[in-house]
Amino acid sequence: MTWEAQLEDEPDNVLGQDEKIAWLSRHIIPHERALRGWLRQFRDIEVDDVVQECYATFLDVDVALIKAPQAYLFRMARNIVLQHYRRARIISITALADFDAQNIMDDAPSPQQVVEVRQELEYLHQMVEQLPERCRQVLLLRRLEGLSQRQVSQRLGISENIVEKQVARGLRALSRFFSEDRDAPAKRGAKQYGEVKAVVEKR
Amino acid sequence: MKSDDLSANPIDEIAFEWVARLDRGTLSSREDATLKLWLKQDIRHRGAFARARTIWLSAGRVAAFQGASLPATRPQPASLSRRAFGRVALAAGLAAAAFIPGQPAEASQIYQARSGLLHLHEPHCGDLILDQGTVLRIRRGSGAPSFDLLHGQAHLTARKGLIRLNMDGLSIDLPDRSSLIAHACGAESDALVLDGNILTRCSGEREQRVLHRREWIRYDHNRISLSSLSDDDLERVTAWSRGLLEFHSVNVTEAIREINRYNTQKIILKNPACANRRISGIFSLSDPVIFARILSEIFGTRPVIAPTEISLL
Repeated sequence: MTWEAQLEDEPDNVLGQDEKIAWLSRHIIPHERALRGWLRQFRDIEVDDVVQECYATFLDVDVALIKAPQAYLFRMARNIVLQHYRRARIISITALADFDAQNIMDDAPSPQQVVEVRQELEYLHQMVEQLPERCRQVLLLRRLEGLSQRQVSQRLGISENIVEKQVARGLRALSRFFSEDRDAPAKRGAKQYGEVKAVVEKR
Repeated sequence: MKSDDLSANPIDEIAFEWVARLDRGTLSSREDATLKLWLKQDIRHRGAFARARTIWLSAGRVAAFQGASLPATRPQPASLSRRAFGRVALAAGLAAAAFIPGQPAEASQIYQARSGLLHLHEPHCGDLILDQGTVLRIRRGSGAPSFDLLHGQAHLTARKGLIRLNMDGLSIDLPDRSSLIAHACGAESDALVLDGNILTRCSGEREQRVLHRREWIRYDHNRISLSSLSDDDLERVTAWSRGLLEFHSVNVTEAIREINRYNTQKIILKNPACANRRISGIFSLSDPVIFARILSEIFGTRPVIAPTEISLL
C-alpha cells in the first residue's frame, strides 16, 4: 500500500492532512518551546500530554479560520489543562490557584516571545553539527539533498534499516530542538525598507 | 509523570519510529493495520504522530545551511549540468510546502551565494542576483521552472515569460519584463516591485493582488503589510544588487560589519574613537581596501593591510 493510498483511505485521520501539517510547521511548532515553558508553571500536569493533545486537536480544526495561531495554541492548551484538572480526582489546591493566576497570552506575541529567525537557524545548524556523524549524514542527505532512504543507504554503504533508525534518531534530536528551553535572543527582525504606511489585517 | 524529556517520552518515541518508517516507503498491510490501530488507541498517539510529521517537515530548514559538509559528492551551484539536475532532489523545502515522506524527489537545484553576489541566468525565464548568504531553489518540472527563496534576498527579472516565486506564506508571479527584490527570513517574507506589475498571493488568500512599481508587500505571521517607497529609497535598497552599499548616517561599526559580510578580507576596527561615528556614502561592497582607506581619511585611522584582514589603528 502506498503512502498516498493510505491518505485516501483515512480521510479523517492524521495520515492525511498534508496541508495542515504544513500549517502546523509554519505556525505552531515555532511556539512549542514557549508553550512548554508556560505549561511547566502548572502543577500536576504532564507537559508532553498537553502538547500532544494540542496537535491532535488541530487536526480537527479548520485552521484557515485561525488568525492568531499562537494565541489560539495557548488558549487550546489552557482548556486542555483545565480539562485535566476537572478529570483529576485528586488535585492540589495550589495547582488550582496557580491556574487561576495565569493570564492567557495576548494575540500579538511580544518581542520576547518571538525568537529571532537567524539565531534560530544558527541553533538548528549547531544542533545538526552536534549530531553523531552517521545521523547527521543521513539527515542532510535525506532532507538537504532529497535522496530517498534507499539512495542514502547506497551512498553511505549501510542498510536501509540503519538509515531508518538514524532518521528516527534525527527526529528525536529535532524534537528537542523545537521544545527545549534556550537562552534565545528576543529581537525581531528589523524593518528593512523603512516604515510601513498601511497595514492590512488578513481576513 | 512530570518529566518533559522528550527523548524519554514513549509515545513520541513510537511516533518518530513510525514517521521514519513511512519516510522509507510503502507499509505492508500488517504494518498499516498496526499503525492505524495505534493511532486510534489514544488522542496523544494521534497528536504525537502529527507532531512528528510536523517536525520532519520542519527539518527542511536545514536547507538554509547548505554549506554543511555532506558525504561523497554533491553538485555545486556554480557548476550546473543536466545530470546534476537529475541527481539533486527536492526534499529540503519551504516549511509551507506539503511534504510526503518517501515520495521520490523531483529535479531541483539549490543555490547559495557563499562569497559575495551570485548572478544566475535562467535561459527560459530571466536573470537572478542572489545576495550574500541567500539560498534559492529552482524546481524544474514539465513547464517553466519555479523558484523557492529559502533564505536571504534575491533580485529577479523576468525576460522570456512568467516567473513563479515562492516564499514562506507568499507566492508571486512576475510577468515578462517585470522585476523585483524578494526577501525571506524564516516566517517573514517580503517583495518590492522594481519594474512592471506583479501578482502576489499570501497564504490563505484566494485572490491575487496586483502590485506596481515601488510597492512593497510584507507577510509576517499572518499579517500583510503594504507600503510604497520613494525613488530615493528604491535606489538605496536595490544598491546591493548593483554591487554597491549605500549608507545614510550609519554607525561605522555597522557599516564595517556590512562590508565584511561580502568579503573574506575583513576590516577590523582597533581604534575605538571612531566606532560610534556615523558615515554616509555609496561604496563598492567588494572592495574593503578602498572602504578602509576612506575611513582612514575621514577619521584619521591608520590602515594596516594584510591578505585576510585590514586593521584600522
